[in-house]
Amino acid sequence: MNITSLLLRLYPRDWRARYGDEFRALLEARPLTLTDALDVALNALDAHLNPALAGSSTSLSERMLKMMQRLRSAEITIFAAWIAFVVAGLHFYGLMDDSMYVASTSSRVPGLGVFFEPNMGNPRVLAWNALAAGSGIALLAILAGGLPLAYAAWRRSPQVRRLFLVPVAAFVAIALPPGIAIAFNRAGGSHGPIGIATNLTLSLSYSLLFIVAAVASTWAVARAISQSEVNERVLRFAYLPAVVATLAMALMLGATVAWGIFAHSQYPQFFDSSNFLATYPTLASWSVIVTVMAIATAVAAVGCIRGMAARGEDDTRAVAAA
Amino acid sequence: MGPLEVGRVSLSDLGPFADPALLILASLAGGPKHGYAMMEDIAALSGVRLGPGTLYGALARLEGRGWIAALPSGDRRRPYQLTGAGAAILREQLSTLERFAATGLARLAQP
Repeated sequence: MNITSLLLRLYPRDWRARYGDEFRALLEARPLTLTDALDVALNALDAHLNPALAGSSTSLSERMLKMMQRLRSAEITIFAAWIAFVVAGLHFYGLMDDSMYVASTSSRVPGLGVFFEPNMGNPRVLAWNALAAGSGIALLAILAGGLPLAYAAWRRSPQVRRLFLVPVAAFVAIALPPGIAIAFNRAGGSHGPIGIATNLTLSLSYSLLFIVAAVASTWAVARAISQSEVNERVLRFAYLPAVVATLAMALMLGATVAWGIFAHSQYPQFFDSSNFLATYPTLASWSVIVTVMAIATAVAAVGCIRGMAARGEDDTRAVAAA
Repeated sequence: MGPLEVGRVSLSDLGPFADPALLILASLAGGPKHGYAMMEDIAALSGVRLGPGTLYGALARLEGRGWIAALPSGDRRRPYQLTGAGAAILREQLSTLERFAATGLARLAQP
């Protein structure tokens, strides 16, 4: 593969389908310089961020359809990223719950289970509370943008409706083990001491079940929405809460990073450990959680940029139609 | 109305591609051209040598707005021509620049 072909491959497929031949002719018309190659690489990135650039030759209705597909795809991407973030966040919450990091004075929010600590002078506590606040903002934003999309998908057809059984089944699968344990304890049952290996196996199995349930639910909801004819106004409306959710994810990521830094300075005896399987946050588990959160936030940010580009294409269409 | 605006439509909407877009419109005002011919014409016209990526980034945006249109071509090199809307944008922009240049020169001529 020569340098011209390599540079062309940097552009999106749609862009190459529209401009590829003539662009190759231009690149081959004179010796390529390093400046030209950099210029092409930068503008290939621009073409990825503005997929509408490849749709100029199609009809307005086709462009409209493509814009809606891209916007929907961007919103599904943000939703999937949020789910990944939630899985990491819930794991962090699970490690924090009843750990030595939580002051005895902490209180829980009824119905949510999120605990706040009143000791606002402590920067680590402040970071934790920012994380909790961010989770609430993100959840509300996802509900505000996602429920109209889910409702539109629900109305689509019985086949699509069946896909919504997956998150319901996933919820049951997740709720069943702790539910059985609680019922067993309330009934006065006793299982005797559980060994460390058994406890570890149960914890890892439940974590795996949780991740599988989250992936299956995300796949089902994304498929239901992608198969549905969602109104353009609903899609455009859903983009704004999706951006808010992404910003909240960035806030939570920052808060989690800050929490780790303060935990390192305040509780090095607990935090500075490479024990990934400890029942409280350690440097090892915190690093994995932060990495997952950072990747999820980056993916959501890319979704936001692509959504913005799709909305920009729609504005362009309006100008062209005028 | 801003210096790069015509009604609701504005060259400045193209962001960093506004200047390359103006050069392309000015080049196509002299007749249809394909990409390489445009690059050469713009270099002769303004002394600016557009990179191939920048040229096609601006071309795609101009075509998307209906300010230029692709013509049928027998080979890989596809020529483009100015549309009526593109000519209106270019005229407005050049008139603004002309007024700006005249004002600037007049001020320089003042003792």
